[in-house]
Amino acid sequence: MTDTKRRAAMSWIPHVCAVAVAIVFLVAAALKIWDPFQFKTDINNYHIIPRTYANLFAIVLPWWEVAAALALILPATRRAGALLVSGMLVMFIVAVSHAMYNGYDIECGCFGKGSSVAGWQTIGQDVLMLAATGIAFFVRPGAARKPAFPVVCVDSGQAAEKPA
Amino acid sequence: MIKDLRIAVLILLVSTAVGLAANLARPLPLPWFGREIVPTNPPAAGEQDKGAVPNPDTVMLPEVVTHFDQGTAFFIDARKPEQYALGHIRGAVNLPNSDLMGYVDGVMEFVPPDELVIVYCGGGDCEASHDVKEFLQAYGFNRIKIYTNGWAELEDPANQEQFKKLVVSGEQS
Repeated sequence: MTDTKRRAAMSWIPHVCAVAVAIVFLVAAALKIWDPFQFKTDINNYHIIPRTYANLFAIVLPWWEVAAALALILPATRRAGALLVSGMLVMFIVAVSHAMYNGYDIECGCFGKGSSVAGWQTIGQDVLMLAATGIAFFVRPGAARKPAFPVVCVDSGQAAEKPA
Repeated sequence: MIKDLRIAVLILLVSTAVGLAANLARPLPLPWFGREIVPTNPPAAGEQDKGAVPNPDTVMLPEVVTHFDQGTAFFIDARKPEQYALGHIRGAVNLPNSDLMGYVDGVMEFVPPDELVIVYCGGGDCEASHDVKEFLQAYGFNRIKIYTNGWAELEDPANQEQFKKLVVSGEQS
């Protein structure tokens, strides 16, 4: 593969990473929005947020996921979306770690009812998504493409010349 | 980076407002605030209550037996289906807090919302019964009590013989 083709292929990687993570977040959010009582129960099972406020969290968090996912997809808001997604992933990892440390045998609540047990698999998935989000944040799609020659602004309107 | 942070905060604020509005628009909105579980200190068998404030939202075993004998309450088991299958209060309907939407139709079919409902789970620090109570309140049930000591008390070998009529084991159901 030529250098140009390789750069062209690599320029798609941050897009693919962003869309993949966004799809996961959108699906997870949809399941939580569909059954907020179940999600509230899952939140309570972690014993982190007081039961008084768990309801509010169950109401708004899925919409944070939706908004962050959409922001991640759009190039104009990708970096802001990546910050939000990363923050939520770190929060999920901390919560699952807390549950594991305390020996709670609970569902993670990631995808509503029937979610996997809050354990190493959940943490692994979140770390993977964190890495993909990092790629979406740090790798700019155009950065791989370097100009073939220096571009010079010419007031006269003449095209820049390729150096000898 | 600062610009990205500002956009992120704006996204959070807007999505929070959308979430709150979406909850209002639900046919069955989630209550804004949950209720903390008030710990109860039931007196040991044979002892007098030594000052613990009685909680009108909870029932003890004698009251459970009375309601069972007189048929004046419906019982709901908030434990997981596999636990329910191994044994439960006779006539109790299963509404596991791990699958509320999946089982609520069964409850609505058999339990009238204006009747007294006693919810129980494993006992001890089990909170499933409280989750189920809050869920049922959203469905219009307004006479709900929690049997705090739950299944742990009924399956206690010291109580099994005395309250055999109250429970059905997995082989019998």
